[in-house]
Amino acid sequence: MRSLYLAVTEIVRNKLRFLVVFLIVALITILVLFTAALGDGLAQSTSEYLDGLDASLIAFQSDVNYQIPASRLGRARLNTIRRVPGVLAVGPIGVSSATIIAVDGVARTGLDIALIGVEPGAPGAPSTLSGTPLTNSRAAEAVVDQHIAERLGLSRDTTITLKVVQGMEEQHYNLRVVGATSGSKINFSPAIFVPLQRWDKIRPQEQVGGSDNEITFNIAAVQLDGTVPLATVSSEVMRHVAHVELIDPVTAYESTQGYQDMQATLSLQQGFVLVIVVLIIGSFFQIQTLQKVAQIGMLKAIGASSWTVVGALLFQIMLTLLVGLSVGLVAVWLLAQALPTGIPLVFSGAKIGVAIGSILAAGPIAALMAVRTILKIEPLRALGLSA
Amino acid sequence: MSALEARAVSKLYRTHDIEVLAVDSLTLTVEPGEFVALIGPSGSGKTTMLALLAGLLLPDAGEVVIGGRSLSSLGKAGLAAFRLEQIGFTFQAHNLVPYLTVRENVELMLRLNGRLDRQGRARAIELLTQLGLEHRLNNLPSELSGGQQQRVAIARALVHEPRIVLADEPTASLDSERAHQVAGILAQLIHAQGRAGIMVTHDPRMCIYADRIVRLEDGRVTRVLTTREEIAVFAQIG
Ligand SMILES: Nc1ncnc2c1ncn2[C@@H]1O[C@H](COP(=O)(O)OP(=O)(O)O)[C@@H](O)[C@H]1O
Ligand SMILES: [Mg+2]
Repeated sequence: MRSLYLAVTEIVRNKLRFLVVFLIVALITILVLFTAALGDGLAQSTSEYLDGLDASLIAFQSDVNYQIPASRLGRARLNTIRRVPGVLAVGPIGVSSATIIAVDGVARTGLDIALIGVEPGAPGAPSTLSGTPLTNSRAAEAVVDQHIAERLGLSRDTTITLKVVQGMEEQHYNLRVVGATSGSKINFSPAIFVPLQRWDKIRPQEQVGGSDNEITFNIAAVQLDGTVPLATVSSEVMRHVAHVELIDPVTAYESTQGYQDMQATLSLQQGFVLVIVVLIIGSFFQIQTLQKVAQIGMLKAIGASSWTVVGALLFQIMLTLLVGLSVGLVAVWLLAQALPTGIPLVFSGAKIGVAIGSILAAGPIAALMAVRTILKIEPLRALGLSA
Repeated sequence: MSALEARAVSKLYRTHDIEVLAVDSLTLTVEPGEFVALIGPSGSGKTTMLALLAGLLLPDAGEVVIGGRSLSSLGKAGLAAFRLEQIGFTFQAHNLVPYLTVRENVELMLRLNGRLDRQGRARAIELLTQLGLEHRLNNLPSELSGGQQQRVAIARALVHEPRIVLADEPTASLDSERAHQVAGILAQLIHAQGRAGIMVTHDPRMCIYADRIVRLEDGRVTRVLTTREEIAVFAQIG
């Protein structure tokens, strides 16, 4: 291939100049992949718990735009939902936050966690990787996310101390760890799970130690038995139960405050970075082409076709992107190994594929300017004439 | 059959409202093994004539026939292919690809027309040796003098065994000694290989190497010298 020959020889004989472009592409690859990973990581840290729920629907208080903190449900509504045909089980879920400040009585740097109240055995309760699930509905026991367990060195029967604000005061509560779970992230934090009645006492609220009023929680996980279509169950529930709306878990986490904005911002950033690739690669090769006008005119005059020269340009651009991309991928892999756990980065095959694809797709777009220049160069100029 | 025939070719440049008849019904025939010098003052149409002979420009009237075929009938792609096969070119400047070595620059011609084989490579080295560049095979053009670069261009113009060799002011940027070297060896190779050579020059001294001198003025032939004596005199006093 004449084009490939010209492309490669030029790169080999101008290593230093091309090295800079390779590095730029490598750095851009790192940027694009980390942005993608951060997008997925942040998405996961808001959606993981809801996404992993063993439930087809989630019940919210109506007219709160599916915002978990704003939603309030009580036992009475839960029972009504349970009686709708097609519903297998319903589990209450209370979501708040707290800080772990001590382990076995020894103070630690505060670790913010999500504090989730569930009904043992009901939908929403965590499955355990080790230890035992929650059983007692009021015990001061917790199933903790394995990230928290690893970070704080928790094991079965370790006691953790939570700090929460109730009324005007800081309160400390002890919980005994009984098991570990995974995939519990919500509100950007991994969670610890406690029985709902315990949760109601220790969650941040106005009254110290909770009130004696009926327990309110935020949402409910609804499991179906499969006998009635989901849409039917959903509309039946909304017809029979006042002030309740049902949606699927995906819509639920996508409705989380800030979720869409966050994803849109990250996509926008990626878009900008890709535009930058196109502009950098495009202008580098355009400048190079402009510097080679006389040489290209000469090549055309001795009989080389425009396509030989355009082909060489495209090969160079694609080679540059491939080399830069490969270096970038290796760097990302190394960086990912070196990063501490707990940083919300998720490298998913799909996102990496899209990122690589869009960097490669930048090549032909970047080539456009220079291709136009090449096509316009007349062989006559080798003789110092113009048509 | 003549290697090259220009039959009453004319070329008219139109820019805005100005028209320049750069070549005016010019007729020229060159035989294989013949080396013709095209000479004339600046603006007399020498370069335009060269472009017409290479098919880089098509005539407004008349025709250029090479190897029995009229260039006007070839079409753009056909003309590029024709140049790759039948034309060897040297230019005044920017002759060589800067990132290719001397040898690669010569072989490029064969790469472009798909005939880079063992014989072709051997021919490239042989030519470069004849041109006194055997020690410069792996140098880049930037490492060569102007005269050496012109000699590399001559090797490239001959390596694919073209019917026609066109040289545009091959000695313009060289000092007198180097100019004689380059024009002399160009003539010698054209004669030895039986190519039809045309050299554009404005330097009468270089005409000493030609078999025929064609002098242009305002796009027309004003003088043709063919005998050795006439040529020798012209080369001395212009
Ligand atoms: N592209 C062009 N447009 C208009 N006039 C041109 C163009 N190229 C050359 N000419 C004119 O044509 C005439 C012949 O030019 P050229 O072939 O370059 O002559 P020479 O090579 O003998 O100096 C000159 O008068 C020149 O000004
Ligand atoms: Mg000229």
